[in-house]
Amino acid sequence: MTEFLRATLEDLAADAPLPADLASGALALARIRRRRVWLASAAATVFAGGGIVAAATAIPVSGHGAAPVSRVPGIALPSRITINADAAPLVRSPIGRSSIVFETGGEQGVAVDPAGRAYRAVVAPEGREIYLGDASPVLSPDGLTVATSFGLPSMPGDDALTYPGEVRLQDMATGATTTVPIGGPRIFESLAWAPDGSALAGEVATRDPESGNYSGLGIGLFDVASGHFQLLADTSDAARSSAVAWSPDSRSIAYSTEVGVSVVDLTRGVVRALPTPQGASQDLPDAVAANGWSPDGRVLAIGVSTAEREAIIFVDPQTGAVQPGTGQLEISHSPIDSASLVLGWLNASTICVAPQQLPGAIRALPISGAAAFDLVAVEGTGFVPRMAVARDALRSGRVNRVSGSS
Amino acid sequence: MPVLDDGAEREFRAFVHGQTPALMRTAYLLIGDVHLAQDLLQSVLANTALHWKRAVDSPEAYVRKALYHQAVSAWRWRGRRPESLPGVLPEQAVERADDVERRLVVQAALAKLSPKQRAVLVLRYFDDLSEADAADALGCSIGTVKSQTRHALGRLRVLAPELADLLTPVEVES
Repeated sequence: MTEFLRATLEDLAADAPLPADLASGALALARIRRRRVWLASAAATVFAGGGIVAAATAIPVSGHGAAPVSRVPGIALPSRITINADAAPLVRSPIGRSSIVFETGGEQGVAVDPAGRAYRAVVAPEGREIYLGDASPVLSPDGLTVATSFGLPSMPGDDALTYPGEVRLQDMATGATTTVPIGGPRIFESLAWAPDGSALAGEVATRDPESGNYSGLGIGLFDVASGHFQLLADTSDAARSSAVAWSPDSRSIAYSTEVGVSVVDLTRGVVRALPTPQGASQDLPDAVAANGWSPDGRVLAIGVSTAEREAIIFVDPQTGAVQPGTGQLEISHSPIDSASLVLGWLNASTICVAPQQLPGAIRALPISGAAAFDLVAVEGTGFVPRMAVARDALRSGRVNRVSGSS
Repeated sequence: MPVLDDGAEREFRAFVHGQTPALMRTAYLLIGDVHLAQDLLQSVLANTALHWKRAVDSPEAYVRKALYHQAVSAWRWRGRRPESLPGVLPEQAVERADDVERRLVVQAALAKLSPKQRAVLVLRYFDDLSEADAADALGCSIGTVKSQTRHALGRLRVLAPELADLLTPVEVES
């Protein structure tokens, strides 16, 4: 037994590729974490870092006909963000409406204002952790509220520990936070804001106290105003499920499991399974992204793996059929994870993604298959496992020009 | 402001450069996904840099202990993700088909273990730690290591019944 297992583990380990220059990434991350410790002891202190200088000039995204609206501090995207906290003016005081929130690879998130000038640390309450990945902070459509899910950090050797699920809402304009329990040892993750900002939907998982394993429980709905939490769909027969995509009228949500993509009609309480797109792998647990439903309601973007490649395809949310006139956007993102890839829609014909090879940047991809163009550039040597964008910042069609670091 | 002074940064970089292959293999086995393993290792190395004065005497032991801890704690959510199989087997994999199949079966079964069960197997059968050393690394009792190992192997037998003949009960250390 031991020899067989040992040999198999050695075989498996040989598959691990050698990452490039982990030392530089780790040192950059260490600088961010040290900054966070400093933040915790110096509330409301503005960091005097190197200069990111934002000119208060909003420009419409070229070629998409979006009318420029109000100037900063109205919602828009900054043309550049820095992911190295040493070079950004991090604050712990409210920065107001925010456009982007991203993880630093440590135990904190960072929200960025529309001018790309103010960076606010989104930190966990005492004794809690901001999990990387599925429990990442997400911005409300108007950029005014950050929602994060939390659990207690576990301790090795303590199998009896439970994880009471909580959602924390943080007002970016006032700094006020509200923490709401969702009941029991659950986790509520892959959060997605309803387009009208009234609710959050996400995956609910529970933990087996015997084995310590987690398993999917369902799709949950959290009413922001009342704090009421309810399960909408049962996914306990699936090992896991994806993020949840809201329809633009807030009446339906889509999600996927390894079984396939489903749409829940919230007004009638009916769950409808969509057929698996032709050529796609049956295994679709990561297919749906929180902001994958197009603003006109006609298209649902899903990430699929075919035998040859990973791609985003665009289907009719009513029938599951590939929408005519759309292309397959081949992407370099393996294994595909739509939740960390698809950020939202610039307009009904252009989707925005986070390029895996350029973490922290935002790229626009016309669904017709026309050439992509970059909206937000990134600088710094930090590490961004996942980011989220306020819907209104994308839809504004405006980018605030931010000059490079001085 | 740098995290380490010049001399310490040189030491840290040399350590990371020299140990990355071995540490990455362990992280991959603990997490089961190449990208997440890299994230985990980078996160642990960042903390090591912050505590370099404490870690410098035995940095590998420090990093490994932190890897095991994080793999069974904050990273448990990512541990729920399924195993991501490499698209192409490594060049040296000129194995018989049944060996490849066995490996894939074990890999899939490992992905369904709890993070702690998986960590115990990696510690005992990949890193070759004794039960006492594994208990020290995980910050738990030897009894917990024994029971977790037993549970993990039992679960592997359930998850991979076709390998039951190879997954006989583990020898018990006195």
